[in-house]
Amino acid sequence: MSVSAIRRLILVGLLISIGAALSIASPSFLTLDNLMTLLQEASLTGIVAIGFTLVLITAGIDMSIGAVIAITSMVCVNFISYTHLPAYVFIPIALAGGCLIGWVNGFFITYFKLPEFIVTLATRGILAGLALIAAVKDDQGFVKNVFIQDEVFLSFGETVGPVYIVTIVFFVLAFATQLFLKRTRAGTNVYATGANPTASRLSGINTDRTLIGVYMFSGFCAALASIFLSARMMTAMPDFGIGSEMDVIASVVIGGTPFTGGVGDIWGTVIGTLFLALIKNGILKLGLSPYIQPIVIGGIIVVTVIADVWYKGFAEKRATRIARQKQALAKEGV
Amino acid sequence: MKATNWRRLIVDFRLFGILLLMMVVLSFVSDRFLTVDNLTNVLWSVCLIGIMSVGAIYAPITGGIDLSVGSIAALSGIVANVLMNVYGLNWMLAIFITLGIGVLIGWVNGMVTTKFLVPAFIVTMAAKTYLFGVAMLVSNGDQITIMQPKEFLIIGVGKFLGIPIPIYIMIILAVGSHILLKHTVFGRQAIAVGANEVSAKLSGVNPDRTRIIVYIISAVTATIAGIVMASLTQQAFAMNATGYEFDVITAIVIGGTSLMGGNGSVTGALIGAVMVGFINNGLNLLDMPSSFHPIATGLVILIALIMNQGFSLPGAVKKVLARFRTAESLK
Repeated sequence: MSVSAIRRLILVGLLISIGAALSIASPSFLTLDNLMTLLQEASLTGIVAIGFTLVLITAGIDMSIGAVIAITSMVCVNFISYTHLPAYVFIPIALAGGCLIGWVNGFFITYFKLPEFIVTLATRGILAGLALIAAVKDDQGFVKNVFIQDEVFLSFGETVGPVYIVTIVFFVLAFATQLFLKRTRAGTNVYATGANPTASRLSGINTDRTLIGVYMFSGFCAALASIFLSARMMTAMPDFGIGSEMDVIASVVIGGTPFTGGVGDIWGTVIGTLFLALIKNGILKLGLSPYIQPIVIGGIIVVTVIADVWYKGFAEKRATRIARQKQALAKEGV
Repeated sequence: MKATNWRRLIVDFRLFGILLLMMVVLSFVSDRFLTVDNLTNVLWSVCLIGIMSVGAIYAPITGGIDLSVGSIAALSGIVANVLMNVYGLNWMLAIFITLGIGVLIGWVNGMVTTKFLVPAFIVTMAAKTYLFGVAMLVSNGDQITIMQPKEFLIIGVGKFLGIPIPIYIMIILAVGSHILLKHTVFGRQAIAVGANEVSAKLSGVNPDRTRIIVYIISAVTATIAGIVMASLTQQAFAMNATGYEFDVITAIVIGGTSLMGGNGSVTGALIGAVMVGFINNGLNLLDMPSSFHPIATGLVILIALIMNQGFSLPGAVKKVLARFRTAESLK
């Protein structure tokens, strides 16, 4: 079994055992209602995490996703409050806005050769400020809590049977993205760009276009998650999603996509998202202090990364030992 | 050699020029700008950002970054308060213990970055998140007012020879940082590691050790800033320094330090800190809503970075025109 397969098995084992422990510790955990809410929360983070995984595979980073969520929800609310356009007109506009933000990120990164994280941090600040300015205000200039009453828009937060629509969309998007990564040329280009940009450029891959495309996809995913979030909440606030970058990064890192680029896939991210949502739900169900949550999320990222490095070193040593034994056996055979 | 000196001088004076221009514009735009009260206000924020940036500048010089400075500052104020007022320790002892905790945080950041090959901004971003959580947990999310001990409060509000003590702290740290960067072996090693890690390693520098020390320096100056802030505002609050890391990065980037590593200027960072103070103050004076602050910071970071890359508008236009002309001549 490959190293990443064993890692994934360990993760699934942990997922199941934490779930089992929680259902013993808290009677309200193992109910259909709670599990569906958990899945729904995981899907909201997960949709963003899918786009983020692609960015991470190209060895980049996108810190602006949280702010994209905020600005997209503000765009939708403005359309709802001030125009009478139907939802199937302004939702594509909002999604295109997410793509545009991704394009701007990608343009600054590829054209000016700036570090990814500082460009996206800067756009994050700009977008977070713009979201506050664009918020619907009342007469005194305070941010108004708009109750969304658009039927089509709210239908995004509905359920099909017991399952939320967002969960279905999440799994479909995950499947499609995985297919894209593994079965198309553009997907292979993403891996190649992350593994070695110079070599990919020399072998004829348009790395700039690949990078811009990846950032656009990341912006699109964040915008999509934002629409589901506002539909679920039936309102939108300018601080939606601000700070959710850490959740997304944690999910992707738990899923086994390293920061070095060139490696990673969507199924890992899906498991990582479920894992994080489970832990957050557990903190809530066990009645722990809410201040523990950032400590746990920050801690998980550091611990996972350390464990990954140790495990990789261990696996490499084991592989060399086995190779040496084989060599020795082959010599004896001769 | 002489040419580069001249160019450096011009770059430094360009910053001074922009600073003066900003002051002139601000004093025309708002008549409240050139008052003693307002300038003192600017001075406080410049002091805090300045103290943080003269230490945090080493991380970009080695090609990393430290995003945890804001959380460290908030946490250190809370820890100092708990040590002094809950455990009743002597204020000097409390400050020393807080500094020790700062060293520990920096060491952890440095260790995780170097030994486990994690990008610095992820490590420090994670540190920012969990340290904020710890600060909230220790202070219970409250805004604690510090009334005791009087000696501790003097650090922030006291004056020596008519000049506030935080300014002395900032100047001493800045001079120390400048000497450390330009005139000691460690400073040269930090620049070497940032410029080319492999060749630095081959010429006998230990890059891991250099990086760990760099993060310790950054965390310690953030701790000092946190203590000064707690004493100045007479309160300890976990939200006190949120967003300071962006101001610090802006100051460093304005000062001409590239985030790719290999160069850096402490004087530039100080001028950058003053500029950040003026930008924030100007937005306040113009009665702009607070939402303009992150927008301005983000735009300034982007523009300063592009300028640091050696990009200029006339140059870009010339390039496009040249490409156009070659296309014409090929026809």
